Amino acid sequence: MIQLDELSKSFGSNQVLEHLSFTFEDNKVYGIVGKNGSGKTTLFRCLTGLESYNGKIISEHQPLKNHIGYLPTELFFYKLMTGMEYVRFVCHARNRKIENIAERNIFDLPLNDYISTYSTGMKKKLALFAILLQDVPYYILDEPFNGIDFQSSVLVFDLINALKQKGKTVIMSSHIYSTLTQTCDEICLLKEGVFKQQVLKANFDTLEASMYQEIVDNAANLLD
Amino acid sequence: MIQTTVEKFRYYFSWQLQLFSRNIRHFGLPPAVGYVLLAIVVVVLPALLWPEKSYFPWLYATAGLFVTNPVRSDGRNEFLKICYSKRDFLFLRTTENLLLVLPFCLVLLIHSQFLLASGLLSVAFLLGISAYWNRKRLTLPALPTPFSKRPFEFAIGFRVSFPVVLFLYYVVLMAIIHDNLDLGVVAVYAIFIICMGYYFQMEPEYYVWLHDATPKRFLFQKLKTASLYAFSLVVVPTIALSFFFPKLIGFLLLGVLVGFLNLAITILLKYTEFPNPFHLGDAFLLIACVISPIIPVALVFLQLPLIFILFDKAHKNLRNYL
Repeated sequence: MIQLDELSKSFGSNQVLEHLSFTFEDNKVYGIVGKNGSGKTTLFRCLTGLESYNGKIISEHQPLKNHIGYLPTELFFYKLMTGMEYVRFVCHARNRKIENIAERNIFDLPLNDYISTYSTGMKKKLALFAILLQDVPYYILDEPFNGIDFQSSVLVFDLINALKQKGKTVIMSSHIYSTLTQTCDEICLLKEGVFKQQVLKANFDTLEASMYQEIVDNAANLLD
Repeated sequence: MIQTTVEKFRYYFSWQLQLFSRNIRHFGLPPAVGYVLLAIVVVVLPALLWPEKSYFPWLYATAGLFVTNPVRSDGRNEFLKICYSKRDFLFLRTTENLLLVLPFCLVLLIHSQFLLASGLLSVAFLLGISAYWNRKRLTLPALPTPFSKRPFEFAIGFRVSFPVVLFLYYVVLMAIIHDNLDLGVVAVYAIFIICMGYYFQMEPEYYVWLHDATPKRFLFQKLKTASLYAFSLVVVPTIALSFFFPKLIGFLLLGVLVGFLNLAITILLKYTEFPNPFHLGDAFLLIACVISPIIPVALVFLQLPLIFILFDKAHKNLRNYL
């Protein structure tokens, strides 16, 4: 469980998160939606401790950062690093001794090649593969479906469901709403620094319709 | 309006000068003062206080090559390749490399080191040319290294520098054949300088954040890995030199010790600045450390206190991430 208590974050005069309170429960998959700049990545960075904040983030796992597998939206890889070296690096960093990395290569990546020869989707899969090996209670996935092919998307759906079956908590964002409706138990709309709406599976369509209506209204206002 | 070639190059170099001046300001000095200091440290002092040691010209030339490092990053080359045509890119990269090593060449010429000066110019020129073909190398299969077990700095750095390391092994062999310990010590020392270069690029904060370790443990782990891997690179030439020059083993081991300390200083300095890149002041400090063996007591007054100061600063800085 991760509890946000009055979480606030601002960059100068720009208030990104404003007294946000919410509880991410165990064994559930959460989707965070919101416009560009609504604060999704900032929220994730606060959860991971990469960003300082006001308020409290409470969890039974301390320090929380060491119990989170985080897939950032912008990935960085060294040109002359191989996939295997990256996975080893992540495992070493998290003190995980994984012997048979090649056998666990679920995405069938060419691990012995330089990462610079990988496509965007392969890089995403490599980062995902490395964090899945960490076996932590919480996974924060910032745009996990960006850039990956259809086959891999299906695999990621299965993986997220498998994580849930194992009692993990998954918090993810996606600009493709359907990817969230297929995987999440709850979707939160982040707007003006708080969760304006929190909907369960039965109401996913209603949230999508209201977001769609808002976009249409805004577009109409702009055209006027 | 179409820019002429001359205008384009003038703009590029004045832009680089602006960026460099900004770096000096970031260091806390007015640019004019920075340039004067730089001229004193790089040209005036070495020209006037040239130690009559056979290794010093090599050391000085290596420091000259070291100065081209900041403009050799892959990201920078990629960006320039996108902005400029192949011809312009080659002209710009070779010219800026040559301009950077020129002060070093002048001092070497003053001291009649014609071969080294022309060698330095040639290497700088070739490095500028080779920057264009970096991508081609990447289509080759990944080069296996003995450092893949504990990624990433040595594994990546070794792939870039292994021809130079092999050349330095050859220099050690020549030093033994020609009974010139000074040259051998400089070659071993240069291997350490190459290892320092493996830590010049600042990693993204995610790479540090990932670690399930306290700042202290993180730093010790980095220092341990670097020491072990650097040791594996210098152990054979060091043993060979100590076997052939047993009476001068103290001098050799002193060089190796300074090499290890300089490597540790580079790592600690990196995490003192993290996540910001090295700035001019850091470059000065590292150059001072590299050329410190000309003043033997520098070890006591420079390297050893620095290790403790930087460890403390890096430790405090890393608390924000670990």
